[in-house]
Amino acid sequence: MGLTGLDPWTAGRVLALAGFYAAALLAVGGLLFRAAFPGLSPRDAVVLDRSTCIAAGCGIVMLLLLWLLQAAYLGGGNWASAFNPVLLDIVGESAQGERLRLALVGLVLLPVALWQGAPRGVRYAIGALGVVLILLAFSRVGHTRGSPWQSVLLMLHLGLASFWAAALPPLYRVAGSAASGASAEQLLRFGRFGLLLVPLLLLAGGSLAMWLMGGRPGALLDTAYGQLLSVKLTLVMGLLLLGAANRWWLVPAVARGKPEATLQLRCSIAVEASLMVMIVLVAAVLLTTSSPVR
Amino acid sequence: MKRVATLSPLSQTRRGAKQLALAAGCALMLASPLLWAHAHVTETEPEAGAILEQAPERLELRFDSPIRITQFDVMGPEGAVELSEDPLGPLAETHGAVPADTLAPGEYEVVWRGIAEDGHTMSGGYRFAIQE
Repeated sequence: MGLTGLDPWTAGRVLALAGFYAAALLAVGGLLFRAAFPGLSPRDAVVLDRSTCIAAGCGIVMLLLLWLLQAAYLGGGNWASAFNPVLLDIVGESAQGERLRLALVGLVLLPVALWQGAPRGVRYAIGALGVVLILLAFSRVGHTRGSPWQSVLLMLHLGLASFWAAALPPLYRVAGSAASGASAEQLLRFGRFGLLLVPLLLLAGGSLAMWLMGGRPGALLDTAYGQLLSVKLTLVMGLLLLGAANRWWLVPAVARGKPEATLQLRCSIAVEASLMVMIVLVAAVLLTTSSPVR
Repeated sequence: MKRVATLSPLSQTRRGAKQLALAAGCALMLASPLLWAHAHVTETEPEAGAILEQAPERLELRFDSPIRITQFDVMGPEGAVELSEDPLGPLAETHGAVPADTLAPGEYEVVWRGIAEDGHTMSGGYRFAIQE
């Protein structure tokens, strides 16, 4: 499988890439969630804004670390290469450099969009620009590069996934105080969003998958790369089942005031978050390690 | 709350089934980005595993899409081989290296790293031998 033969530099790049993915998606999703849930309590809104800013900062740190690690890897795997200007230039001039620049600007813009001192219209415009730049950055590396239509699908897919991921911490907190009608309404509202979110995810992802696999799903089983991809699919299936359980059983039970449902919902959300972390890690391995020779 | 409470068991089941059906596609979606996203070595000169009667004048790597080579090391029986021309440089599908001196008989290993046009970093290597 793709994990065999991971040298320390590749392992470091996988972790840095996973960290960048997680942080950037949480930052993007945090902003989207804030816009979609204006009824959050002031305390929850402050916590969410702070989390979004921290995620954006972590994303920038991970991006810069990734830059150094890529140079180190390209030079043969040593710290001297990590600070070699020629290798840093090569990474900077590559598609990875383009991703770095776009994501960097986007991640700087997100906290600005949350600054309450600016007029609402300006904040919304800056936020939208930041989100688009970050999502565009993801599409600049990999097979979607040079394919505008596939890039749009990937951006849509990641945007929706980020909303889902960033919704989990606030929903976890809300679930703890769901005895109040307002909190229960937030949970139900997210469930209603899910009815739109999942079909769109399906549309974007299904189209991308069909295109990228060239109509050969068997590649999932008969290549080492595909087998690792299958691990990711299994995790995704678990995530969707948990999401469905929350939407149709646990959230309605919490809204009805069933005492044990609150704890069950919080556990379910925590497991969902864990699955997402694993999915991001597997994605980072897939993105970092070479695919098998055709 | 009211909305959920008024859902009939049938419609809940339908929605549940729809959710499960969506799951399969969604899984594909999350898996999608990168199945064939790398350049691949199509040929090497000499061939991987070749046993040569004469020392090659030139070592070459060919890819199916452009890549920028950042490391190209050749190790032989006398240690690292000095190259008079190396493949480090711009994006290209074919990269060649020329040993500074005629290679002595023995086993050789070529190790390379690079970055593809789509931003993916890659590494690889191959061995060949020159007979006495």
